[in-house]
Amino acid sequence: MPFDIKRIRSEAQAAPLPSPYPHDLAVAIVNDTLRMAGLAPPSSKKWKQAPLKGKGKLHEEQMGMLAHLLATTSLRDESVSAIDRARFDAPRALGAFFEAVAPLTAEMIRANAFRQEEFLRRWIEAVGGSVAGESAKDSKKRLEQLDYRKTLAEYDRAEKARQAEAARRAKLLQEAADREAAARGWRE
Amino acid sequence: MSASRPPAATDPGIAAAWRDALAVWDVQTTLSPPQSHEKGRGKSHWKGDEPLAYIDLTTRQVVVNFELLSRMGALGSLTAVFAHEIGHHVRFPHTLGLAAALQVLEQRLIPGLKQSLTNLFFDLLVNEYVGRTRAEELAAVYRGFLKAAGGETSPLFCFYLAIYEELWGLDPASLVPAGMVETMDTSYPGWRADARMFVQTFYALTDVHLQFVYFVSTFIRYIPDPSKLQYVIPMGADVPQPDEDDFDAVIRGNGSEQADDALEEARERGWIKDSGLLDREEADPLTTIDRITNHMPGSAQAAFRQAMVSKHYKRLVDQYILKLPAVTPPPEAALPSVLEDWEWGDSPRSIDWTGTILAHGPLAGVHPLQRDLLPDEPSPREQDMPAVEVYLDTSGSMPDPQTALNTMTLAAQILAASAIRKKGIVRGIVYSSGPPLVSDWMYDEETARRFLLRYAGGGTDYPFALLKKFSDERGDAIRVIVSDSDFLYNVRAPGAMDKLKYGIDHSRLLVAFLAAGEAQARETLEPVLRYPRFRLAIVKGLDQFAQAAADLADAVLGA
Repeated sequence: MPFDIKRIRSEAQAAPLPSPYPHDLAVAIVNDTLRMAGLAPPSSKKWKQAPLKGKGKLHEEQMGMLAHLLATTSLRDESVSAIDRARFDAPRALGAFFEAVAPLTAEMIRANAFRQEEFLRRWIEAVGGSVAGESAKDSKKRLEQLDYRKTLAEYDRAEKARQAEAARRAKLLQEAADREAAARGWRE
Repeated sequence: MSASRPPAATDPGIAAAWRDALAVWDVQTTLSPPQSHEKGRGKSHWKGDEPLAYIDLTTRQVVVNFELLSRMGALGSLTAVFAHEIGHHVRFPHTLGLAAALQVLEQRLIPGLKQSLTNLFFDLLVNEYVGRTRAEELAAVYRGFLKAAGGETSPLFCFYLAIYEELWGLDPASLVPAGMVETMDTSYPGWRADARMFVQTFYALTDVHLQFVYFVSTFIRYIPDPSKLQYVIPMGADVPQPDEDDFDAVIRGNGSEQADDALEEARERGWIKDSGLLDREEADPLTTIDRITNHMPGSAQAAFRQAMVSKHYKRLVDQYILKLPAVTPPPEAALPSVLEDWEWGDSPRSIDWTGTILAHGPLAGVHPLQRDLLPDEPSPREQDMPAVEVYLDTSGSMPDPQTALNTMTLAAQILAASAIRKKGIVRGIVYSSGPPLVSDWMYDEETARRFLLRYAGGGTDYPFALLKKFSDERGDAIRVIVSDSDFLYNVRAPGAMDKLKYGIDHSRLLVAFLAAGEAQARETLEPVLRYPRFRLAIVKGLDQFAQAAADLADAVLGA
């Protein structure tokens, strides 16, 4: 069954996150999801190794958010339906998922609609699901558009240019402010 | 509805589009149906050059230029255009108070900005919402506009369009003119990524003030010289300018806490430093007024500024004399009048039995006399309304009251307001060097306040000739000279002391209210110090002028 992103997002909105999930609890929730799909979850040892261990320092935050979305929305049920037991390789799929969402912080996933949508779409991609009302091509295009890693890489140029221009702009604005103050000035 | 012929406002298709537009926002509104834009219509209508559409937030009337929409080939976008205008009414900004607060914040960050960016900001918010269901219609409006403009456009507009391309998932250069892409790539490296990051950050922020600071910090990059910024963007000038009351509310603090919080967060996120925006402290009210009004056209600027400055000074005056004017109760009936015959139908209470017995003796019971009690009217002297002449020194030693707090002006306003609140009348004489400005007798505070906001800024030349003239005209007036040590210099001029003495003799009271050294003042004014109708009031510091004026008003005019 295709994933209804809009519904999942509104369910997530209705279930605010009171505190971050402990990592062990997050692992248990993901494992439970795999069990519900008829798969043996990765062992504790495997969770501590690459690729499930993740690379960045944000990995535990991302696991926490994934667990929260699985536990409080229909994402888990839809994931269970979408997972193809015969072909699903949990360590590889989860590893690819964490690679794709590497720069996303828990706060971004919680509060930024675009980042949350990207996170959900990456998960759907990882479990081999599809998005309701979209062709595979549309979904791919949307994912490319939302790709935060790509945006960050391209944005780096803009950011550097902006910072290079900042000093000149600050001078221009300071001069304008000085002109304003001089126009207001009065003879002592 | 034909796609080529402009419809009339009564066209059934318009009504249907209007209904659909209201449905976009899913709210109950009481807006009148849209009107067709006609050049030169009433005062409430837009004054800009050929607008596409706008909403008058005073009358809440949406006006659409059907003819222009037709020329742009975007008549099919009518619903989106209506929905856009309704969006300004129901959500962004909804009230012009928010627009005013953001404009004040904007001037704090970008000094000298010629045209406000607030309309673009609100359009981005409205179009995101309308674009959820009618993105293609909005895109058609922008395409039509660009086609009509020949494809040349500013970096600001290119970036603005790139935002919509990202927001609505359109292909690159489907809105941005293809001919501008290379120029933008060269002049603004990474601008597309900038637009993408903007979309993915801006719409995720929840506070409108924070959104605005982020918006300004991003857009400033595409404004080469803020002091020359003038943009023409479809629906980019469709929210009217806030009025003086909206700005006055901001000066009184409306939205300032949210603005400070937004700036604090923006600093933490590095938006201000990275963009080169100016991080100025919150200005005093008169500086804020100056910033708001600086970029306005000349004729509108003076009146707008004066109205705002006047409101500010009124608040300052009220800090010292907020007491409500006393309501004088009607005088009690206490004085006995003459005896008259009492008749049936008259009040038995009015019978004066003592007077009746003395007059009629034993027949008092059959022929009573009555006596009315008359009110004890105050004497004409007590009924006099105070007439106060205020001589205000506005030489260059004090600032222009419209741009910085001038405590002498404030003191003069306090004296004037005190007199008027006691049902008095006031004449203002604002002097510096050259001919002084003289008002008629003023009966209301606002007129007096505005008159006393005038400023010359030259040397100091007290108008003794005028003092003599007015003393001849009205010898019962109280005259107050508000000045500093320059007055002492003036009074030493040949013949000046004699004219001052004349003025004192022909006034109910003449007060020299001076910010000057006491010893110097006493020495200079020694010849008149013993005059019973002269008072010398010394203010030791300019910051004490206002309180001293309130005390003086209490002493001279009665508390």
